[in-house]
Amino acid sequence: MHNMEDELYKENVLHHYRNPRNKYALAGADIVGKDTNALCGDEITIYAHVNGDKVITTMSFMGDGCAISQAASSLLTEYATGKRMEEIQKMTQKDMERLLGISLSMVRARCALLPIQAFQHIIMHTHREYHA
Amino acid sequence: MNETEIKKDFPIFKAQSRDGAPFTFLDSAATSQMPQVVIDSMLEFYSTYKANVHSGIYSIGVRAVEAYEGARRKVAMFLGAHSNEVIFTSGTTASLNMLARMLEVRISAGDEIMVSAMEHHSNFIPWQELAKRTGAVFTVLPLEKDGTLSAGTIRAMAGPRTKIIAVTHVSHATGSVNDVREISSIARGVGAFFVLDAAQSAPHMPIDVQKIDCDFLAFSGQKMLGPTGIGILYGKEKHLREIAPAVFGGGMIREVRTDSSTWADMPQKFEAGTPHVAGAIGLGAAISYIEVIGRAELMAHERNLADMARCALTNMPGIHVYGPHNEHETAGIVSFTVEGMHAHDVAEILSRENIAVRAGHHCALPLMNHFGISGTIRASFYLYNTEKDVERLLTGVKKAQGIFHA
Ligand SMILES: Cc1ncc(COP(=O)(O)O)c(C=O)c1O
Repeated sequence: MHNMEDELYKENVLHHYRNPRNKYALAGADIVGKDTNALCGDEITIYAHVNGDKVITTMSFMGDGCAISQAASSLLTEYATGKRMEEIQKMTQKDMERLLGISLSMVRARCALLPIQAFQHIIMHTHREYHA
Repeated sequence: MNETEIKKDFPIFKAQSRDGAPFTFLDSAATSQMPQVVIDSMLEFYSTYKANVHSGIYSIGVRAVEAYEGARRKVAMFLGAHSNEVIFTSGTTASLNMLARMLEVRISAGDEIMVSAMEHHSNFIPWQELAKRTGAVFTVLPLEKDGTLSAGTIRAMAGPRTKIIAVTHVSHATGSVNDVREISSIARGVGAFFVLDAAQSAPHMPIDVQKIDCDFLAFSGQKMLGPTGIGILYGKEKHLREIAPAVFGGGMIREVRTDSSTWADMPQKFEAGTPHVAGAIGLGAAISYIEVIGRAELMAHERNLADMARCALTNMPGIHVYGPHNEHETAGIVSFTVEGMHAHDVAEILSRENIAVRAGHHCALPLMNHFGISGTIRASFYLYNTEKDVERLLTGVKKAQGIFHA
């Protein structure tokens, strides 16, 4: 337990927190998803370009949050590129832990899963692409 | 006051100390810990005389009623009220929701219900919903820059249509203390009910409902050394006598006919169903524990610790402290943010040091919006906290800054 917690703020997590990748509102996104962590009120918006095969070609995010949700979002945008939409939407706590390189308590798992949930709660999509 | 000795009365501190690091609990504003005597009082009820307070013919039934009503008398004395003005509920939230239902018949379209922007959601949403149901105007009193509520604002905004003014005694998010005597005189002046949320004051400072002259008051046992699931709604006798109950069922009736029913006397008419008897007994024991020390003494001790923390944090680079800085306007609560760090990350790192603080919006989104932030780190102090706890907090915050800014 103690070790796991000590590992929580590993350099990689802090690095992504300080220098998030793909943190911008993607112009002309095919998909926009958004969710809020009820516990802290942090909100993440995910933007994606998706091709006709529902493969993600670009992903970006916006929103402020804790180191875990920011690093998770940043890492996810890189990881998702070239992957199918459903694959990303189905990601679990275990998958996010692998991506972050840390294990998470039940409370902090919600922070890490926030970008995934945002990508599940789609608030805008261009029909042609989404239903293709 | 000997807080090191006091700590020994609370088994949690021993249970949660780890690897030689003492447990520094700084989240009493969310829930307080319980001394062994409170736990024992409930254990005794559960293991030797558990009975329903509505079936008191056999011996333990009688004993349960006596213990339950004894707890009610203690609460009444604690508030300077009469026993029949004290209603047991499950907590502040339940008290305020029930009260909003009870007052519904007194509110008409176009009336005004006033709350402040510093309220806990529990003293905000029930009134917002009441306004929606009745067509009343819901007014949120704006705050000063430092998050305090000026009585002048209330005086300027309240008028003849104002029917309810519901404010907190002490802000759970900043520790700011409101001038309740002044607010009650404003309410009196316009003929409004004055509803006081005492969740953060009753556990820490002397309260006299006669002196404050509030119409209703609510607080929770869990924040004052008692168990969860028990709370109080106080109401002035003249109101409770006239107001109809909002919850119906067993234990609150005088007469039941197929066409209509009548209610028992106050306060029983407001306590439908089997109450949390053990909780009431635990709350009574908690009051006894607090009264031995004295609430004026508690307040002085907690203010001293909060002041220490506030001063040190204010002088630390990269820290922003919210709320009033004058010690006489605050209770034992300090709220702050750390530049470049989310509140949850600070709390997480403090937790590694075995320090428990609250991080987030504290169920006070209107107040967070007022400050233009998403949340704070809150350290709240109680009788078992020591100067050592403050030092550990400060060291922990520095360590968190080190990890994030290294
Ligand atoms: C000022 C204030 N009001 C109401 C409440 C709600 O109390 P409870 O959750 O015990 O109903 C709280 C608890 O945080 C509070 O601080």
